This record gives sequence, structure tokens and C-alpha cells, in this order.
Amino acid sequence: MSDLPQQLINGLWQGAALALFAMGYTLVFGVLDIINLAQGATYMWGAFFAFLCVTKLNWPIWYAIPAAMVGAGFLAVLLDRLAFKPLRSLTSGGLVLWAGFIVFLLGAVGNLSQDIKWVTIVSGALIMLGGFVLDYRSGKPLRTREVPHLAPIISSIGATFILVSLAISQFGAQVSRFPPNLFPVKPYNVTAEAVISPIQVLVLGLSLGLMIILSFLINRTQMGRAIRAIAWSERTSRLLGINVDYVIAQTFFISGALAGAAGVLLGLAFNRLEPNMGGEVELAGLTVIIVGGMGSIGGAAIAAFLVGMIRVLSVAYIDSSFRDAFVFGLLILVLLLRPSGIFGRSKTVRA
Amino acid sequence: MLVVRDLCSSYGAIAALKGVSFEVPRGSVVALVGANGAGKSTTLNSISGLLKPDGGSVRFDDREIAGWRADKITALGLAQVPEGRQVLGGLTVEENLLLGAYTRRDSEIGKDLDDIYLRFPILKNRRKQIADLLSGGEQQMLVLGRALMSRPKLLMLDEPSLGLAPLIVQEVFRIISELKERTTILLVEQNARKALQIANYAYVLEGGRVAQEGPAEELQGDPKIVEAYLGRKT
Ligand SMILES: Nc1ncnc2c1ncn2[C@@H]1O[C@H](COP(=O)(O)OP(=O)(O)O)[C@@H](O)[C@H]1O
Ligand SMILES: [Mg+2]
Repeated sequence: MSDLPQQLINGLWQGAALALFAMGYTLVFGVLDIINLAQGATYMWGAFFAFLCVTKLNWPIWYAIPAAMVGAGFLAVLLDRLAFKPLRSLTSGGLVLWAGFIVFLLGAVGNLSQDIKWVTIVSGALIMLGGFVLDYRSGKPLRTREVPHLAPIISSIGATFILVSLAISQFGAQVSRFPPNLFPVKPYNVTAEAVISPIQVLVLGLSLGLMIILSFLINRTQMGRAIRAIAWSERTSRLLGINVDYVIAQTFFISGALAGAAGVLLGLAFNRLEPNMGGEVELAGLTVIIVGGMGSIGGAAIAAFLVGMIRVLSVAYIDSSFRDAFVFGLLILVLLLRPSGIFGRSKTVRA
Repeated sequence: MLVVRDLCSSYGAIAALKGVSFEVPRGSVVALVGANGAGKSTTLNSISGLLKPDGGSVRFDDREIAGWRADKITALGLAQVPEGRQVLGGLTVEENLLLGAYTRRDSEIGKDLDDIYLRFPILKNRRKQIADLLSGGEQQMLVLGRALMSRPKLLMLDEPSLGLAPLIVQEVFRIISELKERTTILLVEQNARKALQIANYAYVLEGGRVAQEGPAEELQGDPKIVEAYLGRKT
């Protein structure tokens, strides 16, 4: 047990990154009452966006991280428009968006010659842009509807499937790695035996910073109040002049950016990127938001550290194959003893 | 300021409004009275954009707004205080008030907030409290204050006295009569007696149609109205 301080440090920084992922997850749930299972795929794409910036564009990592967050944020907005919004209300713009997406996909993964490939991708993107604009401006949906609760879940599983396939087609199924020497490797001594590497300091620091920014955004700004207002009552929010679709898009952007940040940071820390990396964090993230109380941002943050610790400690002192078993054990325990989560009360977003 | 012509609305196959026409001149208080189910709330919801009307015209400040999205209509300066209060229960009193100013971009929001606190001292004492914890009367004050925070040109109040104790009802009507100095009001009430005391002009809705209209004093003296709506002393 003499390496306990070291394990606690590992649990801390891994828990912090997990918290980013889970806070975005729970934010969307609090507002829309849907579990966005594609959050894991957004996380994975966040990591690959940074990878592209560093390897293809030769950007320094300090630009690649925010760029990846923005990319993942927009990806989440796009996901909302393709997979969730049509379930809430169908508009002509939404249909155009879908058509553009299919053209885009054809270009991205189809077996086309180089020139045609780019023409297809770009025209797909343009059609999608047109769909966005049309969708934004439309006052009247073609149809608004009540869909069964399962629909968004199936829809987001489908989206995950597409996003993972897309990543495999671009990067292959094997592990990709960032170029070495992005960070100094010499670790800092925390105690005589426990060390923390510069990248781990970055993960911890950036995660805590983003958590503070998120808490400020949600609690202290008009945008945050609008997000919580919609979580409470969409109808009343409309009467107050809140453009509900726009604020939902903002919510997805924040959620996606947080997932993207978690993806880059953990991708960097383990230097291991693969198209399936979202599946693993998905399970941990789901546990975190249930333990933290669905929709509770503060609860998710605290539960993330708990789950992070459990994961690290069970690997260190028991066996790595038991890691997920312990996470599941916590999940089941909480579901049995306190189904609303340790910090949960109701379905609203709190911080 | 507001001109409604032949407004029709329905819930699925059920027609709730069958051609409602009325006007709210600038600076006036117009009452919309009628029995439960007459279509009063449906009228307000069709104007504010919560409900898409099937037909007819709604002109606000010489702009045709029928079928617009609710948030765009609110941004024009038309504020609806919906039936049943509808505070944002999970947010604090102050956050509710600040969201009232959501459509505004000017720098006087803080000053207006102080004004509201002066007018409703209870809200000031409870500004950090969750709105759900307020009593019915306090919640009514909160939604009135919240609507005022948008600096509305036209305020539409849907049954502001519903379900409140008599003393609070008096307080609410006192506040409304103060507000009429500052803004134009469309007042929906089942409590026709009180509504007619405050209003300049009134319309009586029946089964989704305007059954009668006239200056408020005239309706107060009309035997038919007295029998149907003012019979019971409250
Ligand atoms: N959500 C709804 N779905 C179906 N019918 C409704 C709904 N709301 C109101 N109605 C019907 O529309 C008519 C008018 O209702 P409403 O406008 O609420 O009346 P009021 O506000 O005057 O009491 C009533 O017959 C009522 O039953
Ligand atoms: Mg009503």
C-alpha cells in the first residue's frame, strides 16, 4: 500500500477528466430529458480533431486543444439537429440537413476518385449549412410530435455507429498516437514517492478550470439561466422570449465541447487514440451521472472523482479485469439504495 | 395597438375559437370575461404564439404577427402572464426576474430590478429563495414583476386572481390598477366584477365567440351580464 499517494493522484486527474465528460452528459439530460449516448463518440472525435490539427496541420497542441473543443461542440450541435431535433419537431430545414449529411457521408467514406470525393464532401457540407439556416429561420414545423422515450436512445446509438465507422474509415481501427515530445516528460515530485507528470498536471488544471467556467456560465449568466429555464418549462421559457432551439443548440455545444476536451486530455495523457475509445468512457460516464443524480452538474463532478478513484484503486490493488465490475457495483448499490442518485432530487439542472 | 380579427384556433378536431375579433387601444385596459371554457386562455395563447391560430389576423403595432414564434412575439414587447402563475420553480426569485429581461440588451436592467423590489418588497426579502417555495400570492407578484422586467408595451394577464385568498386578490387588483398608468393591459378574468371595475372596455366571450362588448360601466349595469357573471357577490 506504500504507493497509495501515487494512486490517489492518478485517481484525481483521471476523475477530473471524467468529470468534464459527465457534466456535459448530465447537462443535456437535465434540459431535454434524453440520454445522449453519442457523447462517447463526440469524446472520441474530440481526441481525433486534436490529432488532425497536430499531425496534418502541424498546429501546436495549445491551439489544437481549443480547436478540438470547438469541433466537438459543433459536432454535438449537428448531432442534435440530425438525431434529436427531428424527433421533437420536423422542419423542411431538418430534411435538407439530413440530405446534405448523406451526401457528405458518401463523399467521406464512398469509394470515389479524389476529385469527386472533395466535390461531394464540400457540396454535402454546403447543403447542410443551407439546412441549418432554413431550420433556424422556420417558424412553423411540418410536424411537432411526442415520441416514445426510447426513440432518442436508438437515435443516438445510430449516430454513434456512424461516427465510429467514419473514424475507422479515416484513421483505421488500430491505435493512433500523438507525436512524441509534445510535452516534457520529467515528472514533478509531489511527495518522496509520488509523482505527477506535466501532462497530468495539464489534465487536472484544465479540467478544474473548465469546471469553474461551466459553473459560472450556468449559474451567473443569462445563457445559463435560460438553459435552466428550459429544463424547468419550455413553454414559460418561450413566453419570456427565449429562442428554445437556439438555447438547446448552445447546450449541445457546451456538452460536446466538454466531451471533446475530456477526449483530447485523456488521449494525450495515455497517448492512445482509437475509434472505440468512447465506449469505455460511456459506461463510466453513465455511472457518474446516475450516482451524481441525473441532471445535477455538481453531483456529476463529485461522483466523477469517486468513480475515477474506484477505477484506479481497483486496478492497482485488486485486478485490472475487475475495474468495470467495481464501477458497476457502485452503480447497482446506488440504484438500490438511492435511485435518485447521491446528490439528486429532481430532474432539473442544478450546479 | 392590438387588433384581432376573426381569430380561429382549435385543439385537434375541437374548435375552441370560432372567429374572435376585438381591439386593445394604446393606454387602455381591456377586459376579456367569460365562463370557464369560453376560450379566454386560448385567445391569449393564440396571440402570444404559444398556439398557432388556424386563421384570422393579429396585428400588433401595425405588424401582422399571427403564426409567429412565441419568443419573437415577446421580443416585440408583448408579455403574457399565463394562467396558473408558472414561475420557474427551480430558479431563485431574482433569477426569475432577470429572465424577465431576457429580450433586453440595454443597461437599465439593474435599475428596473430595484424598481420591482421597491414595488414588491416581499420579493426583495426572498430574492435568493427558490421560486417554488413562495406562496400563491407571492408567486403571482413574481410573475407580474417578471413580465414588467421586459418593459412590455402590452401586458396580457390571464386570470391573475385565480385561486388566491380574498385579501391577496385585492392586492393583485391594486397593483394592476397601478400598472395601467404605465402600460396597456389586456385582462382576462372570471372575476368579472373586479375586472369591469378596472377596465375601460370589455368583451364577453361565449363558446369561442364574442357574445357582447361595450364600455365597462355599461356592461356593469347590463341586467343580462349582472345575472350571468355578476350574480354572486364576492
Ligand atoms: N390543451 C387543450 N386540449 C384540448 N382542448 C382544450 C385544451 N385547452 C382548452 N381546451 C378547450 O378549449 C376550450 C376553451 O378553453 P380555454 O381557452 O382554456 O377557456 P377559458 O380560458 O376561457 O377557461 C374549452 O372547451 C376547453 O375544453
Ligand atoms: Mg383560462
